[in-house]
Amino acid sequence: MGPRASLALLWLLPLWLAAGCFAGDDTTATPASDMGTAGGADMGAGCTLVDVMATDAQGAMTTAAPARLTASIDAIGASGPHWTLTHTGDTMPTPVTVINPMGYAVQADVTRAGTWTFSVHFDAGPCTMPRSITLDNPMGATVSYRFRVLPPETSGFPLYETTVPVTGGMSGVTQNLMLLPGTPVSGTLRLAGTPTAGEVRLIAGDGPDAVGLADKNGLFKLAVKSDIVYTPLLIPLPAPGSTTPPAGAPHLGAAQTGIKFVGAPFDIPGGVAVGGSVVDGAAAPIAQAHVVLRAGALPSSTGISDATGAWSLYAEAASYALSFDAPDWPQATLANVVVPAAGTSLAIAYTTSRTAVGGSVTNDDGTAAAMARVTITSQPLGNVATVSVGGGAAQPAAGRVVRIVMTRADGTLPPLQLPQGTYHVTVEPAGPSLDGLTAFNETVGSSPATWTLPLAKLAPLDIRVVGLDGKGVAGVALTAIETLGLGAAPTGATDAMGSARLFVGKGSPVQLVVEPPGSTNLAGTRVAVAADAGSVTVMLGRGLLVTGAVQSPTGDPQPNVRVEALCDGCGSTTPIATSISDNQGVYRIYLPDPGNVLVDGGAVD
Amino acid sequence: MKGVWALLPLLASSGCLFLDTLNHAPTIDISDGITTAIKGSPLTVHADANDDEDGPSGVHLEFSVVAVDDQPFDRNCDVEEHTSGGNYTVTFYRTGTFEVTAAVTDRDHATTKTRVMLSITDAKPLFTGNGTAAQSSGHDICGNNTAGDPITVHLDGAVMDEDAGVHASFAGCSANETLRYTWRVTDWPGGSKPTLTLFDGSTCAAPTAASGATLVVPNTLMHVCLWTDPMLFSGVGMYSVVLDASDGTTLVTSGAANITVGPDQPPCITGTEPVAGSYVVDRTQTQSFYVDGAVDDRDGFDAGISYVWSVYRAADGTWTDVPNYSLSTYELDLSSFGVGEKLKVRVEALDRTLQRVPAATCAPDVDDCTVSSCATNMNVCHKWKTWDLELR
Repeated sequence: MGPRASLALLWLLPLWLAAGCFAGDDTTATPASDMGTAGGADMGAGCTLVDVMATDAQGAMTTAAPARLTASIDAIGASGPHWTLTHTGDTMPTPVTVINPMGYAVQADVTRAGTWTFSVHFDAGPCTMPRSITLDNPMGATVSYRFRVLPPETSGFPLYETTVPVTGGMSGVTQNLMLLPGTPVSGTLRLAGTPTAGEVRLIAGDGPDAVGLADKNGLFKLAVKSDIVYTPLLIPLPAPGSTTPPAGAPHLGAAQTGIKFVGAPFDIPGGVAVGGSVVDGAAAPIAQAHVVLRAGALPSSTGISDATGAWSLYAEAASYALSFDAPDWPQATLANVVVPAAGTSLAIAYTTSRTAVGGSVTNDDGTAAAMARVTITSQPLGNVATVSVGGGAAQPAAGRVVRIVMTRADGTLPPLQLPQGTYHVTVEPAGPSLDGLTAFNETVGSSPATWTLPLAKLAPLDIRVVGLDGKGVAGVALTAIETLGLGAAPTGATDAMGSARLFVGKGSPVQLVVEPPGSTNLAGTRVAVAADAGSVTVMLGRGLLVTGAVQSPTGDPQPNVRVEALCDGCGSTTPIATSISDNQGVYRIYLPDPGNVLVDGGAVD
Repeated sequence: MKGVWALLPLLASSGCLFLDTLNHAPTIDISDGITTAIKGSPLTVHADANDDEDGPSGVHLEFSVVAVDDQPFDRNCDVEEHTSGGNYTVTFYRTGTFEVTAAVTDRDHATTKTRVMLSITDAKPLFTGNGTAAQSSGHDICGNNTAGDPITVHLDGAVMDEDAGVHASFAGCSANETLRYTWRVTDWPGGSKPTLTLFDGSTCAAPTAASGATLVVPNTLMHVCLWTDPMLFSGVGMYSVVLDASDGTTLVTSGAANITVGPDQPPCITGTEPVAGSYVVDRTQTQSFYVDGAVDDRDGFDAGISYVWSVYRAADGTWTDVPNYSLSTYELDLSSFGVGEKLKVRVEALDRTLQRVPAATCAPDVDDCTVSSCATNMNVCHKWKTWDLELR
């Protein structure tokens, strides 16, 4: 470099400093989306941009891995270039080969898809901007996740959902989530022309339902997406503070796009009356039996039998599944019960025999367990009743026992009448208690039975969480949700060795929710743990970060928004990962890497 | 003859000894200037000397200084002098009254003196910036602090004292003035006397038997911890804390940090999904409930606020808490409930105090328990919310 050039560089030095040059490696921490042409136009303005390209084995430009990545920078006269190549998600940089005598160009052969970022800084030279390139994974499997966005009630935005495709082998996905106010719909819910309290549910064909609650004057408001098809389900309910059921049936209206609900009437015709009776095998009336009809999303009102066993309900003319139960009697169902436009009657007669069952619940220390919650469920019992529809022939209805009782002050069960069969009994102590949920299997035969149900202390569940390298992962949040009873959910976190111990109810299967810290680049998971497993080891797979900002339509960040990722194709309706947006509206969800598509080689026997 | 020589000085001083041509005594004049200064600041006395015969360049000028305030005078440490031509620059390192004498002598040894009195005063410490004690630790969104929790306090500003720490450069001289800083609790709402301890940047030193309502600190940068009376947890009160700065002569006091303590406010649920209310649900479907917003004076949503979920069955006539469950979301499997059964699902927010709503505040059958809390707008706080479900 001649003296003139040196002087020129010295003259430029203040400009570089003012421009925030010599940021060194700090710039490599900038998310890929903020680099190069992808955004962040004001970052490093005036600095020299690294030029990056990807070529395949034949030297042709490519956008897929594997590829040869070449980076260069126009920096004549600069000295001491220091290049860094990082793959988003990796903790260590990837080595590069210098291919220019002055070090102004480097290359690296990479095999993995994802976002690769070159950055360079000089001992003496211009400031630079990093540049990223994202390589597709042509073999990557793609899984579509449904992202459910639940804004705070106070935000005024309705819940909404969107689909996010995630391809295996990539570094991650940037997905901003924009909340939309939707189209407001308000109106008056009327039952047979009279305003009524109730529920207005517009069942979405795709996405979340729009729901409004009508007050005692029938007034409600909700928000819809104007182009989504909704089916209105209008359910009259007792006015707040009242227990008198309205004399009318829920109504399932015609599906139409959301915009057409603006200004539309929300009238409930009222349906027709369906009456009937419930008796036992000796034709004695059964009081307090509950009878409900349901046709898909459309329920009837609820019929409750009086002391004579008589009941009535309202239903729209349709074909329903009938469900009924009564204290000390099994639940039973019968499909294809047709309610004609003129209404009908249903004569229900229990046919099953029952045996007296008593018992008591004790604490682990032997004392009586008062107010313990005892859930009794039987295996399917076969036919337990007959139903005569509209005076027709009696049809058998299958059923099973589902009962919840509370122990009395002395720990005894209330007297029970149960059909013969095998029962699963879950006992939950009244809290707070040192004992935990305890599950039992009991049998009822033809002779009266007495159940002795001792509660057990919570049992340890030792959990070890390991990463792909088999090493323990520290700081993993754990929630063990018991799938019996009300669903206790002890929480904890793994220690430095990746181990944790939670205490769960004896005999209860557990859904173990495993949420590693984002810094691990591992995906969270839910693991079903069998009852009394004692220990479980969870291996976490590679995670793909899906991140972005939750924003209002004007671009304002929306904090405290819950974002749930649901995998409809994974066989679970529960979210597989959840995030709550921070003060900048940013959410971060690690989803399992879908991996690559499995190729069928076509071999045959 | 010997007697004649003895008379010479007298004659010379009287100007009556004429050994040569008649000599006039030199003249000297100290021009008007600053005769007061603060300790440690240089002060310059300028003297104009002249002589009719020798001219200004022919005279010898000397300055000297003595203390005239009857205080001990350490010539090495109390004063630094520098003479340059007619300028005599002197810096005093103690306060008092001093006399500077300028003596001019001509070539004929005739001398003339003049004097000036200097008054050296002390610079008082001053607070700069806001000059107010201020709370460092965060208070809750109601502006209160939790009684019993240590509260850190710092000086918002600085203390300036021009002469603090100055001393002569002579070996062994030290400053006769250093600033002393003392934090002091000037007012408290009753209860036990508050104490102050040092804050090391991350934690508060625990109070000891020696701790009290005053605390000497080495500098103004140091934050201190105010320990309030934990027994005031249910009341509201104010503590006032100031910083005293003294240079040994003058004490100045900062503006006070007024720190209020108040009772912990209940957390409030600001939103749920679905909106709390009455619903008819499919009893074959698991139902999900969320708290999508909660506020508290001291704890945050998903950071300190926990939840108690409970279920009410009309058949039982009692509420049952979901055991060991504190999450903001809850899923209820309805398969074990009866046909047409009516349930209530309730969520109550708890803050770090884990206090449930007192029974006298909200009846159990109230679906929406509202209490007062300055953590929310209009002071209306939804302590719990309830979903009424009918299973069909």
